[in-house]
Amino acid sequence: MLIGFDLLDRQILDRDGEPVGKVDDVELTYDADGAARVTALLLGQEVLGDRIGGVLGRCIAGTARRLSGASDRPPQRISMDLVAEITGAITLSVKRELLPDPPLETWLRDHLIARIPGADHES
Amino acid sequence: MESPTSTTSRIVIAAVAVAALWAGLAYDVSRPADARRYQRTLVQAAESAHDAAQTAALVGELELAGKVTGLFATAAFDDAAKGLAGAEQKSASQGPPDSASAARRDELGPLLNAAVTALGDTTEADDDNRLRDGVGRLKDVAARLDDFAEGMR
Amino acid sequence: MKRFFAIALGVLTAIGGFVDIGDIVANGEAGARFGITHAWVLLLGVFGICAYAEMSGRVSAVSGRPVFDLVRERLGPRVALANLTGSLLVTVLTLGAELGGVGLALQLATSVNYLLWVPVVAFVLWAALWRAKFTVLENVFGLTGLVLIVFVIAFFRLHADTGGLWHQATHPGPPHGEDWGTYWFFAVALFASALTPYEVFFFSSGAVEERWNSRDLITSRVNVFVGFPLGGLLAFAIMLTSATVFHPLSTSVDSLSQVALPAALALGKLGLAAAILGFFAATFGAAMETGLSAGYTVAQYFGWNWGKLRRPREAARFHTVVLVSIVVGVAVLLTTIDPIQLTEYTLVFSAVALPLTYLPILVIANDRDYLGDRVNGRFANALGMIYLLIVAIAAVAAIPLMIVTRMGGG
Repeated sequence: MLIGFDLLDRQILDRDGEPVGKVDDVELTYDADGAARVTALLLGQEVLGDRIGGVLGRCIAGTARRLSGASDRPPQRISMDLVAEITGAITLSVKRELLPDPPLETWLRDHLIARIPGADHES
Repeated sequence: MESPTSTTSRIVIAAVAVAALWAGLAYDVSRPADARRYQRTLVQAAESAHDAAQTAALVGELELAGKVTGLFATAAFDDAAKGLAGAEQKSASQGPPDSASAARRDELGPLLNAAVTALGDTTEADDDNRLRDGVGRLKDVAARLDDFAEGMR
Repeated sequence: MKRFFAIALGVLTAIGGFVDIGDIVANGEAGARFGITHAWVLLLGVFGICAYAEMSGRVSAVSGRPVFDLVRERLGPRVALANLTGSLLVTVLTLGAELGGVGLALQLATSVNYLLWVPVVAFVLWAALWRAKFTVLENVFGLTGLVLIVFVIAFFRLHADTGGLWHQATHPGPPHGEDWGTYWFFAVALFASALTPYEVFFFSSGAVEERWNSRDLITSRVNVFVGFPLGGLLAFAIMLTSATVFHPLSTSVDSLSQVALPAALALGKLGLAAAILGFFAATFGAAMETGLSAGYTVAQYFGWNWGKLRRPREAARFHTVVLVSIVVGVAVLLTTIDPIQLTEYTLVFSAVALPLTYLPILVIANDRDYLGDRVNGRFANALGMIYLLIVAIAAVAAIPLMIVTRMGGG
């Protein structure tokens, strides 16, 4: 499997088809004989910014780190054993609720969106 | 990871390019007007004033015919006034570089004034006769502004 | 009746694309200064947007995901980021201009200065995007915008010199008093106005909001082939009436009030009211389209939850982007920049951003992973490539033309 082709930047969907995020980076673990295995998917603007590189990438990563408070917080990580299927998108075997919430979403929801009346109604 | 020196040199190149562009622009803007450019500015001012006057005349006629609301007419006259103000500003933005240009500017000045007063009277007109009179004057000054612009092309 | 509402998405997208505030004034100005010698540009634009909107709708219906969502996967994060920045800049500036446009339409009706309306309109826009159902917004603003048909009716009542007009349409070129530079500047601006990026992103995201699937391909096509030509017709009607009234008087058009005059001339107060209502609906619809489009593109790039079909609690980042975009739009307007001048500048910049938008769509529409056997046929690809070439030429020519002709002033 080519990581660049099949994994990176793909949409991650949960068991019900709800979007979880995109694969911003992957976690590689090297085993005893030096071969690399993908052990987890990493999500978050910080890792995306780091991967893109350049001035723009550093901007994104820097802003994301500042907004999420702790600048050394580890990125959101989804272990590969939660992945059920890899087709056009990457489908997980669990529901979205069981995964940790992205920090930016949580912060905005608690401090801004949830305070506006009507936040519970879809339209 | 890029080396710091290549990033620095990129920033320097970009800064130099921006400075060169800005200097070029500053030079172009501050060059004393030559007669041709000045006269083109006068033509543009005359055309803008003509457009404003002609439009205002049209609005006045529609108001007489009862085809527009008073509120709309006010908004439309406001737009025409803004157009005239822009034309006046344009014609005054530079001094004439030679006597021929000065002569043309002196020709345009009274036309612009006539347009402004005609527009003002049309906007304030509270009966049909005054409105009709204002519209007539606007059309007349629009025609003269058009002649001025044509004469200079 | 339900069938009628089924094309509302296409109609709304087209209205926001073809008769937003920039297009209304650009078509009016082109008609006044050039007669209808730019008619071919509108026709070219309609074909182009139909081709690409059909591809976008097909991608969304078959893959269940909007086009922009797929750009990052297919073309990599850097290219997609360039795409995002370019179209986001244009979209947010346009949003500001549209808010100004709604204010201007209200000024025509009430004579209250547009700047005083802007905060009110911005709030109502945000509230509509927050709570109103997507389909309700589509139907109300899409169909009300169709009131601009009044310009078609007005044309027939104006007893125009049809022979002269036909001659203008079939002999493209600058009339007396204009030169080829300004002629091509307007051609590029009108073409860019027909193919603004947010149209396709909005249409394909809207398709997902409406939950279209493979069975809705026909709906998608009807939306495209009815909606966009209708939008083009409305734009053309504005150009036509302006050419009929203002061109013979050698008068140029640069304000919304002038564009409405032919309707008043032909049909009196009723025509005027219809024109103003149409302006209001079209600019408000365009404001909705650009606001949502800003949210869609940012959220889809980063993979966030998006859409009105989700509870705002669950798409906090998406709604924040929409809110911030509206605030930025208002801020830009409060600098008292003329909204019409603002749109003219954004038209030029969107011309430059066009290839960034349309190349990815063509690539994705050929990808079997997403579309199975519904990928582009030979005809669609040929059309796509031709338009990509035209779009590239327009993008390269836009800024030089803008500089040489001083924004079309000559």
